[in-house]
Amino acid sequence: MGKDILRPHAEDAYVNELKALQKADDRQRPSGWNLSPWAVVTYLLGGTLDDGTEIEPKYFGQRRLMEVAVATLATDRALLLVGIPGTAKTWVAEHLAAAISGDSKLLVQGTAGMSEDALRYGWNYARLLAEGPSEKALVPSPVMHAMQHGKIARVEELTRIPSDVQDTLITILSEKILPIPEMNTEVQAQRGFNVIATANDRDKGVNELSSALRRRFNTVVMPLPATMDEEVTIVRTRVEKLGETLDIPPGATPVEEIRRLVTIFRELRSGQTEDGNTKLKVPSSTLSTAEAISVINSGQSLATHFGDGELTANDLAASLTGAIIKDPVQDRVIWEEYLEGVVRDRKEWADLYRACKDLM
Amino acid sequence: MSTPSWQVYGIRHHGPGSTKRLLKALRQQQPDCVLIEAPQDGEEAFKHVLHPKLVPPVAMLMYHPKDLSRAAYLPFAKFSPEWQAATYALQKQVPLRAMDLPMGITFEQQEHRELPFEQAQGKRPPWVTDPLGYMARLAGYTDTERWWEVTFEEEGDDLRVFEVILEMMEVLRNESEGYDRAENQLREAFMRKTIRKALKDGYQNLAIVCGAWHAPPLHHLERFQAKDDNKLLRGLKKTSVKSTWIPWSYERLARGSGYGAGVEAPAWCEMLYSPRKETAVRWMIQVARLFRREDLDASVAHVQEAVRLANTLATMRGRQLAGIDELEEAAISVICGGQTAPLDLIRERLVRGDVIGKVPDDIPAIPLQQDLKQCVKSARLTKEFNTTETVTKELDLRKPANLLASQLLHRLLLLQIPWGTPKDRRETEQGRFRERWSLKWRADYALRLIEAGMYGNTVREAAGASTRKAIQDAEDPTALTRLLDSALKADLPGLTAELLTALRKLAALSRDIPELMQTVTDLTQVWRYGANYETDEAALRELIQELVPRICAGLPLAVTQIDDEMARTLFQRMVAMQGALSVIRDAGHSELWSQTLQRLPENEAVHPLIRGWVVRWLINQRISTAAETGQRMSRALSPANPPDMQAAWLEGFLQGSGLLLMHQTDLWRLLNEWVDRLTMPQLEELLPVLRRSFSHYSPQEREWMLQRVFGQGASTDSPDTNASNIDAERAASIHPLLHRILGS
Repeated sequence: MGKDILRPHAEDAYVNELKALQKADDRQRPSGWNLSPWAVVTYLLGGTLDDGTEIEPKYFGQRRLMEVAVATLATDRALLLVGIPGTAKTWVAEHLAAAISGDSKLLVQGTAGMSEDALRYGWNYARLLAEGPSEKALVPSPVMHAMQHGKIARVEELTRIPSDVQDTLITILSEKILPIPEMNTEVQAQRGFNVIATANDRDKGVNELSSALRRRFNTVVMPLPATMDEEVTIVRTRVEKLGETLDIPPGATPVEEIRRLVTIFRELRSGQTEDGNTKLKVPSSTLSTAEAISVINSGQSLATHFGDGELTANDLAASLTGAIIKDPVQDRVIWEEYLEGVVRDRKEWADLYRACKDLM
Repeated sequence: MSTPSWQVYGIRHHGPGSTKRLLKALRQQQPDCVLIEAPQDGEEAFKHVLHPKLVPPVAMLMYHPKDLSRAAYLPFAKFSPEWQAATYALQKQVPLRAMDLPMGITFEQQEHRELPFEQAQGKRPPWVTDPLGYMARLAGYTDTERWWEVTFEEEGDDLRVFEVILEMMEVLRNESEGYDRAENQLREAFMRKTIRKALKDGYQNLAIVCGAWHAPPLHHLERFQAKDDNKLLRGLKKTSVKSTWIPWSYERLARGSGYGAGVEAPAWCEMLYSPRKETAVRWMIQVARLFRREDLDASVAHVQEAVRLANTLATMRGRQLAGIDELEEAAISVICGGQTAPLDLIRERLVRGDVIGKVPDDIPAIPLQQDLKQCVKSARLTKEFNTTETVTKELDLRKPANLLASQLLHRLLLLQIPWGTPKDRRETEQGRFRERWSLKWRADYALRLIEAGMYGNTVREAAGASTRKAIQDAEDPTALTRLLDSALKADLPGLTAELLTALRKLAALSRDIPELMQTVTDLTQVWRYGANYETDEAALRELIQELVPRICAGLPLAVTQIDDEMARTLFQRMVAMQGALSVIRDAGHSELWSQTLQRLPENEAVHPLIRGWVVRWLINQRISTAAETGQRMSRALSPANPPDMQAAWLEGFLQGSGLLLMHQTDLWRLLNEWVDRLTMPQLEELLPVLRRSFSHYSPQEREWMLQRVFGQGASTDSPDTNASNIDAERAASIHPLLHRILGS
């Protein structure tokens, strides 16, 4: 594995942790699983094993949700992770697949133009014409591959897939078979096969799941981070990691700016100030943690390339305003109210207040 | 005769598992006397337990007959062990004794000691208040009842279960020596005293039902000397206490009870208490049924999958049985599509249950009724209270008795008991010190009063608590300002802070600008007259200060693209708001308001009624010049604009007193010049509009205006009206027309 790879797979990046867990794990494993449900939860949430191996937390948040997710997969039900963009749905799905099957590569990216082939199988047409339908001419989809080898398949953005194509999954999930009528045969799923799908519930114009399909899934809604410190930790960790890959010269991580930004995001998102004294209106933008990360990043690159390298309120203000005002009329009023009502009163935020006001 | 024996049953208050076991054990033991942990002076009230119309959940209300604020509630559900023990004893006609320290002593102790008994409970360690719950949590269960099932249901011998509990408690008590309060020592001494008495009375086979914590010192009766206990109890003062039953609800039961061990999920407990098996499945079916009633998908397959998931979750967490937590999480994931909102929709019915108990009429009255009688007497309203006629009553709030009467009536209104309805006050005649009420007492108010008894034992206390609930339920700021007003009039000053906080929260969410303006106006009224009451003036002012900038931010958008009706509302609110601002006299706000208004006249999308008023206001404030205003006026009243628009503009512009119009020379001249410029056909077209706008002036004002037009009674002549330049004959020719316009 060359170190020039921009982003290694979860099972490669955390290969040591997975090995240590496998060794330490003496609980019962569902057939086809690399680890026991307990070990999977530990892998996701972090901890220290008896042999002293540190498991890095991959998910910061409620243990309960991860338990429900893992228990779902253990009962052979498919898992649907729902949430607004930037709530670590894909991240969790990838790590679940890596921990359970040791393989997070069986991925189908849902798009509006997707055909059934992407979920079932396609053909190598040259072979098909030359030899007729045969196993050699068949090109299996990641889902079919997962069925054959008893692994977890991931379907990203399930609700973007056209409804009729989505419904292909029904047979796969309930009967655990994939018929191949051309060859009068079928693929029967091996133990360990399951599907993790993710869906975004903020976008308009998505293809809502049919109730028949929805019934095959247990749903876990991924929430935004619960506490301020949790969110600051997530943003800081990710900003540092991203900074490395994007070759932004390593400066001190602007913890204070992150804290300020996360405060603004959390307050606007939850509709009240952190001290709980004042209620606020909520803008239409998502204001997810991922968005906070990108605001800090673009601020940092502004500061690096056009400023003196130190992240200031001015560097933040532009991308911050852009992140919050998505609807030019309503959001603008809300943002203005917030600036006047909350930001102005915080003395140590005077620089930010001025910088944002200048942009209005 | 054999030596007397006694069996101690350590139970968990309101624990259905304990209850089931207890009943089995009682049947096995066949006691000849049953003692339960309940205040001894409440013993009498237990005789009602078998009353067919006394349906749990109910609470025994014990109170000091003279000081109703000293009272205690002892709630019981169908699944409460004490309730079932009492029922068992009465059915078998076995004597039932209440063995706990009399409430009369407890009241006295609370009165004379620094540390009140019951309130101190919160500070006690959890293994004292709920030892079985504590053990369950140690075992990794959040659902104590499930832990009970797993731990004790396997055990075949019913009496043996209680022996195990006894041993467990002995260990716990030994470990926590010194944590126990003096209160508990007194109580346990009294319990032992009662037990000894029962033995002395010749009973051979006692059943003693008490909270698990108290089990060891009662079981080992022989370890304590009767004389030590008596010494401890000697000389304790005791007041008389009355007891009665009042209806209780699962909702209130869930909020915690006198025992300190509340029930989180009464409906779940009831399900556990029922003799049928497969509680998890039945619970999930109940979920599905409730969802179907709400038109949500919940099939049998859903139930099946949800139960499976709950069981898997329990296994992952190392529990043998799925508890309420696992069941809820599974229901959310499988049936609700991950959302908690649908579950919240049915949670009330599912977890708490909307069960309310019943109390028959022949059980004596509640303290609130008695307090009301007392209040009526002090307010000198006895005559009005005892008649069925409608009586009109004038109150002068400067007289103490009348003030009490007004406060009482307002408090009853807050309790949804409209004995008195306030009549419209004629402010100018009567001032703020007088109120007129129409009084009529109706029979069904008695029932409402009993319901209100849930909120408190005195009218004042109950009104406060019910208002607090109303505050939580209020959905718009207007309702809250109304409550604020009522709370002040009802002399419940403690609520002001809460109301203001709630108001602030609601107002912050509201996008309804007219509503916010109304709120500011109302608040200003309260603020202005607040000096009469004990209001937190600073908080009020602060809230107003928060709202004004928000209104100013939203106003320009709110007054555009609206229909006439909405415009009229907004217009009135803006006029009121302007009045309120002039009362508040905050330079910053006035400036902000004026800046906001200045943005309106040039915006064509703003409703003309409002534009007209704003233009007028701007010239009154000398913010815009006469020339500007004249231009705006003629633009607004140009023939290109539809007549109704012109009418609206003019109405807004001419709002207010006619006198003011006449004495503002500039304004008068502007109007005059504009009329002058009109051509005859234009004027004819505008006549109806003009007539309407002038019609709201009083006849006298119109008369003065007419004289002014004729150049008579005008005191401050402007140069243009100098008579020398006017052709008198031509001027006279328009008199008839002007007469028609001004309508006199």
